[in-house]
Amino acid sequence: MKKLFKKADFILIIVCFLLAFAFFLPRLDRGKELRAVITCGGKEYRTIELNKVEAAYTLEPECSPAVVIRVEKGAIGFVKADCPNKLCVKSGMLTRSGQTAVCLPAKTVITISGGQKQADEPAVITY
Amino acid sequence: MADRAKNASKKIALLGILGAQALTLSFLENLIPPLPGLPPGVKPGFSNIVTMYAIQALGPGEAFFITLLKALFAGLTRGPVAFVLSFAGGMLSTVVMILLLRPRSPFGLAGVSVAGALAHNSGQLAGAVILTGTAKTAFYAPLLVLSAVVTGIITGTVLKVVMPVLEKQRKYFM
Repeated sequence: MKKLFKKADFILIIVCFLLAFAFFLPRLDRGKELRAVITCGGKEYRTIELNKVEAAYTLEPECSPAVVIRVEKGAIGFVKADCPNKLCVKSGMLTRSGQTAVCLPAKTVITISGGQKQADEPAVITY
Repeated sequence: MADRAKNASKKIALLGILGAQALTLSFLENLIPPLPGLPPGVKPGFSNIVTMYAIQALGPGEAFFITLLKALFAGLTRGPVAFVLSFAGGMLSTVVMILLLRPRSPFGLAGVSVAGALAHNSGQLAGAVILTGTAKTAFYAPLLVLSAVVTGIITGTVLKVVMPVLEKQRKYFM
């Protein structure tokens, strides 16, 4: 019957690739506003614009038990904590809007807001 | 006159078999767990092989019937949301494939398959945006375009390979 590949097919495929990348690129620098909020015992301790951070630094907020928070360009996270579980440290570095890390004994919470939700977040609907 | 009735029932019988094959492929596909990094609805779309074949071997009306059958099946097994998405994607896809499978069309099977997959994904994405009420769902668009290209090429190739078997099946009826 019909052939599998004709000239028009290749043109279609190339156009598709171009379209897909044309949509991908504008999205790459949308994470412009990545705002991290650190709260200690319910009170806001500091807010940091992660994308504006140049050199990485650490913070030791006066919460107890003591925690050490590392702030870098585009990421923030607990690196040391005096709590028994160290779940906060295990949360790793937060890089995306909506992510949180919590040290319960220290009542220290880092949340990230701003920026765009990434395309690979779980879908709301089922197929 | 008896011949005409005989012809019609042969076509209907073949249509029934093809419809069952389309549903089986659709069902088996959905057993594959969603791959990480891809939106959960992305599937190879093997049942489109049957639809493309039906357009050529039977006709547009029969192809629409198979599409409707798939949507109803999705609705029965996965709920009303699945019906709407399958119907939206399927109808658009079938229309596009009917247009591109005409004798004078410049496209080969792979291109028709890719175009069909694109139309299917677009129809589903539109349905999803309407259902979720947010345009942010459209963020899936670039990924869907790429997956349409890949799945389209695969299903087009499979159709080409399986064609002799499908023709043998058809000759059994008609």
